[in-house]
Amino acid sequence: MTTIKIKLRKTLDEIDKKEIIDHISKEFGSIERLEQKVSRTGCREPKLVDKLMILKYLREGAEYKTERILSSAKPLSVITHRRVSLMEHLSKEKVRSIRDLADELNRDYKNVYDDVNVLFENGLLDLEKDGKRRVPTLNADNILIEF
Amino acid sequence: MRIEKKIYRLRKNERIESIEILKEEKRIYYSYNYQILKDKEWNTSVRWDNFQKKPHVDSYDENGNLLYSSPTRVKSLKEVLELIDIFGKNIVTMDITKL
Repeated sequence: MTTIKIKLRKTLDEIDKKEIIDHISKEFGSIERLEQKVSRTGCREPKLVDKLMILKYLREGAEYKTERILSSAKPLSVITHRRVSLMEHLSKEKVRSIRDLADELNRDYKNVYDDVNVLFENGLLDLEKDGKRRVPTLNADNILIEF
Repeated sequence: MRIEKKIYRLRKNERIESIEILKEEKRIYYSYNYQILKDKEWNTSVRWDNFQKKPHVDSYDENGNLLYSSPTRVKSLKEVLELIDIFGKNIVTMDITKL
């Protein structure tokens, strides 16, 4: 049985952190309003609790590290040169949609759509909901393979 | 101070999303979310956190509605990973007061 671990890591820089602070602040108006909402909803809205805590400590200057751990060798089998380029692009640029990503990579939408789904199914990127759209994101600037 | 967000992919449609906030290596906040993939969205089914210094465990239905909430002792990520390893998806239907 394989004990391989694939780790995708990132330490967010000041620009990334400011974007998170701005995004959450814009979504709720202010930290006070988010606090009020959390005190009303409590455990019913667990994501808000996490957002509040992250916002609170980011504003106090906390460092922010993310790590994604995959305990299987299977994701390695779906990695191709084009998919690596796609991941590399997402690690550096934020896109608004899969179509945007296809445009920026100068690739056919359908092929990029398929690649995004394969990478998502294998845990190599995220799809965040933004209204009706799914936005591919990748919080990683290095990939480590541990045996 | 440090925020650490970790995602442990356990199986194709199961994962743990962990958020820990550390102050001088002391953990001041944690949330450990056992999530199940449905329609390309990760939904929390069971969650342990210590918000407002009150360690508790919550369970949710597949639409994200809170089902139960119960105080529990402080949990570590290692303990949560062990619980999920032992009980797997059955953890969703378990009596959460025992978690």
